[in-house]
Amino acid sequence: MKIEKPYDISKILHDLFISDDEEMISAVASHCHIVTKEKGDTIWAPGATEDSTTILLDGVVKTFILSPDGTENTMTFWFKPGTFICPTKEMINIPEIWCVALTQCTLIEMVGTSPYKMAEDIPVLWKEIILGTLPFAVRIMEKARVGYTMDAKDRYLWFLNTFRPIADIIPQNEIALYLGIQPQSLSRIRTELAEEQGDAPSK
Amino acid sequence: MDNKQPFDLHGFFRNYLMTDNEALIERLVECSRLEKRKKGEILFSPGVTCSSTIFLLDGVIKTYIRSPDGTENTLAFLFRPGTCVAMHEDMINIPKTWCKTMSPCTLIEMSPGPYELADEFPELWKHLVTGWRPFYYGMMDKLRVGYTLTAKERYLWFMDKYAPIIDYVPQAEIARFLGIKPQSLSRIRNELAEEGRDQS
Repeated sequence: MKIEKPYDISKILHDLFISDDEEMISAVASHCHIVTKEKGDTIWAPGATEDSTTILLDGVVKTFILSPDGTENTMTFWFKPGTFICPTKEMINIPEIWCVALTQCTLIEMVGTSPYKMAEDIPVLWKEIILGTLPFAVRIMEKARVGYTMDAKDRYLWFLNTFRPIADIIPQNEIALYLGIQPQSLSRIRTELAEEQGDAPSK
Repeated sequence: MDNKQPFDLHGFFRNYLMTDNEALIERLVECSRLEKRKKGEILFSPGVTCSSTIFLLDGVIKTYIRSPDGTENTLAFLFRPGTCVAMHEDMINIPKTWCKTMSPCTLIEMSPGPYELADEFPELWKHLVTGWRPFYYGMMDKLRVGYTLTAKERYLWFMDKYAPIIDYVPQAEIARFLGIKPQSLSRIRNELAEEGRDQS
């Protein structure tokens, strides 16, 4: 989805939602704010007391689960403008999921309500929630497929293809962790690919 | 379930959706079949051209992703009567998800399903959102368990979560599901038996 600046919440919601229901869009827009997050800012974290609603306008965020040693186990990286993520507080708190800005980001956030609460009065929103957040579920499951079915080199090629626009933003050790590859194996794979393609690995 | 009585699909959907919308109930009944499945039958697999919807009435099913060597990597074991698995075709075809029976099962199978019927009956969109949550929690909880618990804690989590079906799932499959080596799982089971904690 192409989102032009200056950001216009109503126009973005029109482009994002399947329905053209003006009443629904203006009701949602009235609770939305544009916020800027700095690199490293938390967007949501376990212990959330409210549902969270985020539409990514620019920048990169990641969702992850923390290991006891502090390792951030990434579930996925988000970077496509228009990505719509709206976990209920249970969806954050039960699996203990964090969401953090990897770069400076601009987001639309909802304040004081959530699509779930609003959908009780505006049922057309249920469809927007299920179809709008489907990519989140599909992406997490796709990562499981990649882990189960591909060798390390194919996993890295899948990563480059899926996350090409942000491949240079993610540190190599984080890519290795995400793909379940030893850092030294990832280095070897990158060297092999560079030799095969005459393509210098990015810094 | 009393096998001598015909299964009351109307009553099932009325209770399940807590709705009095007779037109909706009629349409769901029209699209539904009660099926008895044997152990090992495939319920959906990659390549589907529409969504797949199953209500589990009894038995055990699993969703999994196949490795190239044929290994079945389980995403979740489903066994609670009334569990609804409503999979959009993208959730089957993109991650290449399979679903099969692990025991004889009684199921309601729907075609077309709620994704196709929801534009006609918009209240189904809400049920898709709420009905899908247990599946989401199951998938996410397994990720958390994998990242945060030791092998022994993972097995205790499994015994707690899957207590009613622990005898249906072969030990090798439990080990793989939990990311534990089979010999480590044996050791953990022995330890728990000595501590008097292994119920299986």
